[in-house]
Amino acid sequence: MRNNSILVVSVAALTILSTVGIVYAQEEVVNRSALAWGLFYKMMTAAFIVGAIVQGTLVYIIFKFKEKKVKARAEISSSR
Amino acid sequence: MVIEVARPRPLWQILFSTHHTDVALLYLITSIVFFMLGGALALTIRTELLTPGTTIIGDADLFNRIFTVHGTTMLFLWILPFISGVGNYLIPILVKYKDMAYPRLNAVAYWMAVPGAALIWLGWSDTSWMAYPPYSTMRAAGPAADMWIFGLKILGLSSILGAINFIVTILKCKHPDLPMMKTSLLVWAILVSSLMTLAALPTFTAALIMLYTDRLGVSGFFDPARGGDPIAYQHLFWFTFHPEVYIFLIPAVGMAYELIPKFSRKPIFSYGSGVIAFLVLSIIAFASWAHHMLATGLTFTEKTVFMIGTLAAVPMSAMHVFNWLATMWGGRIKFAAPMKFVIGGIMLFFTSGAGGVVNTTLPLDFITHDTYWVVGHFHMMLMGTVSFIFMGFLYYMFPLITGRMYSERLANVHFWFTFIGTAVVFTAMHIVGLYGMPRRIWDYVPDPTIIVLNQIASVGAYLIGIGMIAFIILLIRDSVKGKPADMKDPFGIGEIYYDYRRREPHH
Amino acid sequence: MVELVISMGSHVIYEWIYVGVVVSILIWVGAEAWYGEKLLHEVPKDHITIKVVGQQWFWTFEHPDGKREVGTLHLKAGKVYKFEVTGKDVIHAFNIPHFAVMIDAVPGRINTIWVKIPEDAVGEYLIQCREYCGLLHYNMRANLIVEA
Ligand code: HEM
Ligand SMILES: [Cu+2]
Ligand SMILES: [Cu+2]
Repeated sequence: MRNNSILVVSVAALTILSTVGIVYAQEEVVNRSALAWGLFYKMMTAAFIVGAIVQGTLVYIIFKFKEKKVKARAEISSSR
Repeated sequence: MVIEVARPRPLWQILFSTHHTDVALLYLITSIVFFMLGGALALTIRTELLTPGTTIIGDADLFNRIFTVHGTTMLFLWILPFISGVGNYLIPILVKYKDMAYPRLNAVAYWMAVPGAALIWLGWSDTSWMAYPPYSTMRAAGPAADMWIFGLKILGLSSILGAINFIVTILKCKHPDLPMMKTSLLVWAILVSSLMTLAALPTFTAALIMLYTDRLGVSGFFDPARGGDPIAYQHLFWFTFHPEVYIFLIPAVGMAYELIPKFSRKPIFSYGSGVIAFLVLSIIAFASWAHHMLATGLTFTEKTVFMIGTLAAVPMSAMHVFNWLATMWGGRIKFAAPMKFVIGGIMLFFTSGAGGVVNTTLPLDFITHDTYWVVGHFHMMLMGTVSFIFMGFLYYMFPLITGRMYSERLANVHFWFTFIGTAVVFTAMHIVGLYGMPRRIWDYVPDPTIIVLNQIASVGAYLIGIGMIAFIILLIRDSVKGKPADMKDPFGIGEIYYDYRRREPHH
Repeated sequence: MVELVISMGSHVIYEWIYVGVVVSILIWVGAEAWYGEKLLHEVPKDHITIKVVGQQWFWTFEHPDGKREVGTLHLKAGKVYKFEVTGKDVIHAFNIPHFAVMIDAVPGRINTIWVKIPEDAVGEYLIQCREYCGLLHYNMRANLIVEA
């Protein structure tokens, strides 16, 4: 639980900081396509990082835990 | 048609039966047939878009009818009947009851789907699967549009009857010695999605009647000239169909939960979190419908609320992925066809989920809404995840249904062509959407990038087509000639299989 | 509920940490999106209003001085424009991909969207319909000409 609150707080802080940054940089009328695409690239960066972690884990699991590699542990069973 | 080794029965016995495995078989065969027919339409669409201008479809009218029937078929004649088929086969087995609660109602629900399907395929409406008024009420040609409305009406009622049957079977007919918390997560999935069907579907069935009376000219619910509002329809429609997309997804998630522990030879990492994610999602799913309407002129507050509602549903999907990965972690995984399709499905699930988050991120809707990006998003979900898990599950049920084993080699061909094809088509669609290509168009701007991306997408579609041909050959050949399966443990994973003797009717 | 929590076992703490991470990322996404949308929502004071009407299957534009154009729209670089968009028969969507302008043209409603055309944007751009509207939807395009 403590880990969570640290995370939430730090992300919130980052958000506020970047928001404040944008507000003070704001003098002209916003350029809508620049804003939308800027946001899009930000989202893509986040998505690709998270995606790399998720897909990477999955690929790791596929190779690490395939049947041939773990013959020795035949006692595992799925019954709950 | 002989599809059972042990006790072949004539077709008419299956057709007129109310036994749950027989109705289930009818559902499954119907859904697979429509999957192939819908797929043929998809290949036609992709071929038309291979080059700018006319490629094979002479005019836009036919093209519009084709994508309408394609979409309607895939959602209502492939995904929904497949879920009913699997549910009918397995729910009575998994809750240890002799049949569904109302066997006759069950058969009625199946047979209602037949005229529903006929109306859609004989009518060839051009309304698009969303049938937004005023186009659908004032301009769309009859009798096609009217037949579409009635077809969906019947399919909707059939869904509701099916949902009631599942809910009663699970809650009232479950064996007293089997606590709910010890049932398979597939049982939870079917229960939750059936409850959602009851809550979500009536809105759309009402909207269909309003569409029809508007078409007749006796009402003006959606006609501004008579005090109506076309946007009201969209609220009614998406109030049903946003939850409905989760009604498509949740059973697939349940099937993945059924397969992953077995093929990893490990218990589910956290059964409880699976249940929690189902229950919470079933409620939150009702808080995001207007994310399909962000461009209709909603207020800033409305947009914010529905964005938050949409984002709030994402952690539940993330919990399932975690649960799956954690279940596989440290296991001893057997990569038979069912597991391959499930893992492929999980890979594409992340992509489509991330695409969905981008859709709802407010200013990005200006870029993505109603472009091919959205088409890429939901196909990645419905083909890449839902249909993949369905196909995997069909392989798992193959011995139960036919008493025979399928050929792993051909299944492998099926998997790889379909997986690569799916990744290619729908990624290309996302990108061409970013270049501004609208969806539902017969012809596009002959810009070199857009042309190339469309051609990549079409090639991907042909790869899927090859995979599907392998699938059809496998299904037909191996249900007739496959080796008899070891019915105790057909996949050699040290697991007890479903009791195949259930196929024999109790009367 | 108690049953549920117990059934989750003790190693489930990892799952909650993970959910925490996911939720944090989503909060960040939501905040960024909300802020961006807010900036785009408020129409700047000095703007020129253009009335846009979509009908099967062409666009009509009306300038403040009453001048009308069909199928072509002339705008000036460096100016802020507000579009008041409506549909005559069925729903269309007014879309200029290059400037990320996109709003539905709905019969019986007037939707607004604004854009500042950058100083250096002189040239020709595509205007298209992005909501399915029947037979010639694919070809419901217009020309945007930005002049110095
Ligand atoms: C991570 C979860 C998801 C999010 C955040 C999400 C978000 C969205 C959003 C915002 C749209 C509207 C896009 C637009 O028109 O501009 C959309 C469209 C769509 N989504 Fe999702 N979605 C998610 C998961 C799913 C799932 C699980 C399914 C189905 C199984 C699905 C099926 C669809 C469909 C069918 C459409 C398009 C409907 C149409 O316009 O024809 N989505 N999604
Ligand atoms: Cu939705
Ligand atoms: Cu249009």
